[in-house]
Amino acid sequence: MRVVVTLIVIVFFAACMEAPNVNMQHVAHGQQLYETHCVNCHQQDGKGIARIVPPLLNADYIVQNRNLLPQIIRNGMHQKIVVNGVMYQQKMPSNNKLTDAELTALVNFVEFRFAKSTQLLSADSVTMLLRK
Amino acid sequence: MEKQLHKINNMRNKISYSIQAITLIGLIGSCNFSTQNKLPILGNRVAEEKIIDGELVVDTIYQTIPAFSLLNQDSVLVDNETVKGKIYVADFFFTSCPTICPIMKKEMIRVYEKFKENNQVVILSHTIDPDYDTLPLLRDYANRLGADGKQWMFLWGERKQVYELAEKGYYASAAVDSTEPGGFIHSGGFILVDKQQRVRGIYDGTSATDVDKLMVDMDILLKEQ
Repeated sequence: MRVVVTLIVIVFFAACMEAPNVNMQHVAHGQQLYETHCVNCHQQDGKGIARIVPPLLNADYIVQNRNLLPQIIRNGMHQKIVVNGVMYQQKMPSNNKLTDAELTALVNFVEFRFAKSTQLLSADSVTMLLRK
Repeated sequence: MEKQLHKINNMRNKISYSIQAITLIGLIGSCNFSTQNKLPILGNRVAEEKIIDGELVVDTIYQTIPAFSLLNQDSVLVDNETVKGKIYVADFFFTSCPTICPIMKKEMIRVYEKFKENNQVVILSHTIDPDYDTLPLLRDYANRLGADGKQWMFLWGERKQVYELAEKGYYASAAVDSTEPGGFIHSGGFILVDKQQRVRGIYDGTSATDVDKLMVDMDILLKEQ
């Protein structure tokens, strides 16, 4: 009896772990994309470069403009922005070859790693944000 | 019995001292050796025969940086005279470069931070996109990197002049290439030049370990007479 109860508990926990595990795989894919497309400028630690490239780490801009992130990554950024009180005007190049699914993984990685967010976006919601 | 023990202890101490002394000498020896490292002189060289006081003397003439005349971010003329008697590091970039330049600039900040108190050291960053990188834009860029604009200068010149200087003077490459992200292709080298304007080393400006080596070599070069 005791063995059965233990097994049930283990299965229950495993089921609970399932959801975050899937998301972590998603984030890991985002990390690979980050290292290919973003790391040269925004750096491994997300701190950016001097006053040339804005930081992602603890950036108020990310928290305040969550819904814009997929668009910004896809189309680049050509106007001045202010991040944590510092104005940046370096153009960010577009990444228009990334698919909706890749953008989802990338945004989720950036949110998770640099904005400490655990509210991850679904691919559908990213597609919707991109159509806006 | 006690006397003998004392003797043995004394001997042990002596041996231990001598080992320490030998190790110390060895260490000093290796230090001296490393500071005596000489950097190679890159480029072509020709032997020139001269007659001095009736005697035939063979002199080696090394390749030097060709004459250049460019403007820095403050519209001040910079030429070979500006860097005369100083060692300098040169690189080629453009401000809108999406690939290797940001990382090169991050590495160059490290070089600048290490040598910024030393007036024997200059850094020359040449733009290869003179149409987009105007002087005011270069000034803003320098400012944003934290460069003072005197020791670390951002140089502007006509495309043809800068590309020729890159290739013939610094063994670097720069070309317009519309298939490349950003529209240009260029090498990411940091080129170390000595007080006689001879190239003494080329380092990968995107590699932290290579840039560490550059900074060690700069110290060696600064000690050279």
